[in-house]
Amino acid sequence: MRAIASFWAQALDDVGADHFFHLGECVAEDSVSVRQSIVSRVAETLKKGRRYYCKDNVLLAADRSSFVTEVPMIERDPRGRVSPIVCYGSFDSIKEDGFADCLCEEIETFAVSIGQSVAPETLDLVREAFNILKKKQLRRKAAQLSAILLVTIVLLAIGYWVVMKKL
Amino acid sequence: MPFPVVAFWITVGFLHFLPFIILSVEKINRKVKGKKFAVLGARQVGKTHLIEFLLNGTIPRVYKKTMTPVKTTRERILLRELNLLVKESWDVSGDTSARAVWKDLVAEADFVLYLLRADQVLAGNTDVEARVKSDVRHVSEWIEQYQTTDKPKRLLLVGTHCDYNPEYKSKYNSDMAEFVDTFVKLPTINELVLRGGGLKKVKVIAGSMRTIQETEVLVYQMLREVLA
Repeated sequence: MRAIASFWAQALDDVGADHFFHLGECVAEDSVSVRQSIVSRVAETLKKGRRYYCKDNVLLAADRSSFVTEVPMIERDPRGRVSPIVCYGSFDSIKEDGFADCLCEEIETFAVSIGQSVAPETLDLVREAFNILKKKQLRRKAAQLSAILLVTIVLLAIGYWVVMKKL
Repeated sequence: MPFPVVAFWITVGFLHFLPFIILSVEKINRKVKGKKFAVLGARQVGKTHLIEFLLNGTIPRVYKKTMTPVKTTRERILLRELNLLVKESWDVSGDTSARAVWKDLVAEADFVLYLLRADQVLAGNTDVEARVKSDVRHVSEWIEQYQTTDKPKRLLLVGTHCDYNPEYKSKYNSDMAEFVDTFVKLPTINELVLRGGGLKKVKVIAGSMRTIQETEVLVYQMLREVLA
């Protein structure tokens, strides 16, 4: 299966280094640039983009080129804090069929690889979040197409009027 | 007196007071526009706690780890006689992988608040000391890189979790100044101050954020340094 997202999570003991997965591979602790680039892209998406979904600590934000989703794990840190997994990916991949299911599978795989787990109902929220995003995107595209169509009709009408006037 | 002579003297007088007028306008602007903070530090030093108190006057009861940056709002802080408008900023992760994000925050900030576990430094935890030294080295470089003469940036080292230190408990309410002084004089803190450009550029405060009252005392110290 092709990896569709990069993943980032903190060590539950709050002492160890953060965990990173990029293109289906674990990112080593000394790969500082890859780690920093994932965190920077996540920050950039959140700063420039829009929050589309926020429910029970599941968050989904996206800009034109990428998406970020935060998914809480079952396990808590020693201070009882909710510990999330952060997923980052390209916006284009969202359009593919079965994207949300693939992403949920990847989230589960990543969680298991770092000794943690995600509740099935949390993954349902992730699917719901992406469905909402898809619907909003479709509505936005429909609105854009309508606007383009309207402008074209107006321009054609003006052109027709000018030509008719000359005749 | 002929008209050109009057006009000449009015112009001379205006030019004489112009720098003072510009300075006053700048001062007013700064007060109206507010200050931007960059709250930085390793994990579990109290960044989210401090931001929450600064903006809402409360402390978080249950919260989640800060991974993705969370936007903070623009708020006016009124604490005792102090009054400060804080511009919107971001609450960011404390992991070293977030350093590029920290750098962006420093570039935009007027004040960099670097939080560190004072109890761990007082206990001589070498891992914490190494991390703090590395962070402050980076932060100082970014401050140097981004500050301009008209927009100087200042670094404030904020020692937190002092309540975990037995001496703090015994000196709380009586001899806090002496406790803070001991902290400031620690070789590690001295080194951090030197890395940041000396005591003129770097200020150090310490305290606890265990309760709302203790957080208020620490934030009050912090704001006094900021407004000084």
